[in-house]
Amino acid sequence: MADAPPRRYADGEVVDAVVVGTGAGGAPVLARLAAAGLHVVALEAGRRWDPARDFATDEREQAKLFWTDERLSAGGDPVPLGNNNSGNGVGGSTLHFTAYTPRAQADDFRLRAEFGVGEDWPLGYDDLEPYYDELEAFLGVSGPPDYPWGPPRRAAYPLAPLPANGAARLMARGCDAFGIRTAPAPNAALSAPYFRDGVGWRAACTNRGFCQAGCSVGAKASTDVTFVPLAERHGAEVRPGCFVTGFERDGAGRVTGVVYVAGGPDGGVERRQRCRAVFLAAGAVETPRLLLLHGLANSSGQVGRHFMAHTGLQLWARFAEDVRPYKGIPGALISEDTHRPPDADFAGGYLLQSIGVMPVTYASQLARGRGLWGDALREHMRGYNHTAGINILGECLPHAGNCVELSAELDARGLPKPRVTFTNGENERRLTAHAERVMRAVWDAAGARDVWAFARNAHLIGTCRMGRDGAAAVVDADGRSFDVPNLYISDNSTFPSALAVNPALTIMALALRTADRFLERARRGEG
Amino acid sequence: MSTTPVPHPHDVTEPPVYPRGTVRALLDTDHVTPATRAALRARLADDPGAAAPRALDADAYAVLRAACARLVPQPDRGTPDGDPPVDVAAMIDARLADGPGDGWRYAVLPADAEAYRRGLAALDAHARATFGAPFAALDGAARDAALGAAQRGAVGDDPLGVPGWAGGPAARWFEELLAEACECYYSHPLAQEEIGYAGMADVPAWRALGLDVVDPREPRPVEPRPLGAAARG
Ligand SMILES: Cc1cc2nc3c(=O)[nH]c(=O)nc-3n(C[C@H](O)[C@H](O)[C@H](O)COP(=O)(O)OP(=O)(O)OC[C@H]3O[C@@H](n4cnc5c(N)ncnc54)[C@H](O)[C@@H]3O)c2cc1C
Ligand code: SF4
Repeated sequence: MADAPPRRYADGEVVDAVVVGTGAGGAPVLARLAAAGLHVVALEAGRRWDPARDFATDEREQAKLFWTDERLSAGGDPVPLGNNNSGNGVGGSTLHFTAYTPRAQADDFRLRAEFGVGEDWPLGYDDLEPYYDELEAFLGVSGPPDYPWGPPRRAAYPLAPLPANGAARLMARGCDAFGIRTAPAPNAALSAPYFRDGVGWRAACTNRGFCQAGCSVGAKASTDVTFVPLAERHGAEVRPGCFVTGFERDGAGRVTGVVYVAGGPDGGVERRQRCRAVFLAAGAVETPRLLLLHGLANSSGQVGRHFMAHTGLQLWARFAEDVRPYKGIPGALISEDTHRPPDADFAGGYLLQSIGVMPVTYASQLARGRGLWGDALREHMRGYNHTAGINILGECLPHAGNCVELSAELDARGLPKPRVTFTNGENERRLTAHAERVMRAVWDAAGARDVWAFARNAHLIGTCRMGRDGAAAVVDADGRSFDVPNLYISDNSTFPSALAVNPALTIMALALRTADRFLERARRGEG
Repeated sequence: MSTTPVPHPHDVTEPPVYPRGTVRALLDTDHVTPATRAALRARLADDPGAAAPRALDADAYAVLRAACARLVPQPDRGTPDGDPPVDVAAMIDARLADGPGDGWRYAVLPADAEAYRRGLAALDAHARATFGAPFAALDGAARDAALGAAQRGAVGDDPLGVPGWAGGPAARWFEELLAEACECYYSHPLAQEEIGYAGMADVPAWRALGLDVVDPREPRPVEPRPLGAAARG
């Protein structure tokens, strides 16, 4: 393939598309459009990192990867943001995602049809399957040869599973005894060196367990080492340090340019990039925030509404065995046997995963979840090396009252800070209670002691839902705004329901599909 | 590379005790990358306690220091032959002065520095009202009682004149204080030695991933502690 140096476009030049954000939703669009020969620019608020040089194996130092512009968290169950939820830099939240990449199952997309609650998607598993296949091959997902759940797979995972760490072995022991099937989890981290055209060789995972604070060896398939270099090989320009604040529009309401501040909140310079189309991929807080700021694409009134966050209860336990929870891919083992539990008194389901943990994260959770301090805190933490966890990833229904709004407080740029309001509903509470019973039984069977539950919600989902009807949704199944025909959204905000799996692989699959549909439309000469 | 089994009696209930100096020794080896070494060395060398507070005034800082001494007590540090204590309060003040924050806050709380000022003032006022002395002058048990009240939100409105602090906001602020104190303390190499953490030494790849096995460069407990042995060493 052509090894063209990345292009540099002038602001006055009209590019085919501007992509706002380079995380899970933005980078795949950028690469796809560039590969089709389009002139594309990505505007990314964060900076560009050199993982080998810049990433320390130290949680405090790596706080620099998180989104630090202040957000307000409200509601009955305020969701921790910052390190729990979003990244900052070329690569977005994939810089610190844990690389867990199960596919959604077919029934995940039809919750309302199945249970009469939640929301159905305007597309289904079949629409995404080819993209799941493509992504697993491109990213280099490590996984078991025969994945036990979901529709039959057309291709095996390209790489063998990553090794099982202590937590995975303990969870497997407990699940075996309790009668739950497990499998090595699919992880977008390389169990062997891997080559892809346009990306080159990436090194294998060194089991350093640090995915949530940045992979210094490039084994984890964050977009900065996968789709971003691919896009650049095809001539895309990636501009870090560019915070998008608004849009230029013509008389017909189409976007004609993107306004951004280059060079940080203080002393930044306002600039504008002219374009024929824009793809918002700023994540499920900043995307609706931008639209709300400008009253854009919101004739449905759905922008910012139906914010969801997976139920993510963690059950921590102490074992006689030496576990060393800092080693190995953190989420090494999975079970989807609880995808639709037969004795459920709730809609949807959840998956189970084993989890390792870094010490600062664990101590922080201990403080928030258990309120331990003094001698009891230090005593407990001295058992850190004997600690293992199980985590669920559970369905979260879209509730109208859970939302992202503009608050009255202004940030350093003079823009209203976003306020995220979240309260678990009855369904989330029942699902979590069910999961806690199952996990306690598993840990009991594995020989755990001092078991404690840390309730949490994770992942920022919804807020610009897709649907069939422009009166009830912000974008259609192609990610295209019903109101502004050359504005697309490609990130976690378009999910109409949460899905009982981790979101990144599905965000990327939707992103590639959105880009393909855009290209088809362009080929047909439609704008 | 070989891996080493860690012997342990299967009814261990006491947490293990690890030797001192393990992380500091690893920092001198090629098991640590330059970026990691730089971050940890800087934290080890930092003696923020020597400087005056920058975000908080002297009164608030005195309360913070006295609170941190109970939240993360370090009676084993600062002795003539021991390591210096980890200065958690100074790390918090430095963060408040220099930012950035952690990207979010509970909507019921004001901005971080303001929340600390109010929370510390309310804690001090509670101490004076309940024990007739400033918080920093109380003995350990009384300070623990006052901190327990703050944890439950059972302190009065802060004396800085802003109503509505008692209850939800006070309890949330305590949660923030405790979480930050924990994060500061356990990010320090001395605390990481204490818990036998060696994750920073991640070169080359870890090989010993199972149960009861460690790579040769990982610290092992001073001695395995059978059930019923004395609590601490
Ligand atoms: C600790 C952690 C672990 C996780 N683990 C997993 C996992 O194992 N598996 C999984 O599937 N998911 C995981 N996730 C979730 C996953 O990372 C996110 O769901 C996903 O990255 C979201 O993609 P996105 O495109 O919506 O947003 P992001 O990836 O967050 O990308 C948004 C980008 O937009 C940029 N941006 C925002 N506003 C602007 C602006 N105004 N101008 C310019 N740029 C802007 C941001 O800097 C960012 O780069 C994890 C998340 C966290 C926090
Ligand atoms: S566990 Fe593997 S993928 Fe994760 S950060 Fe470490 S080397 Fe990278």
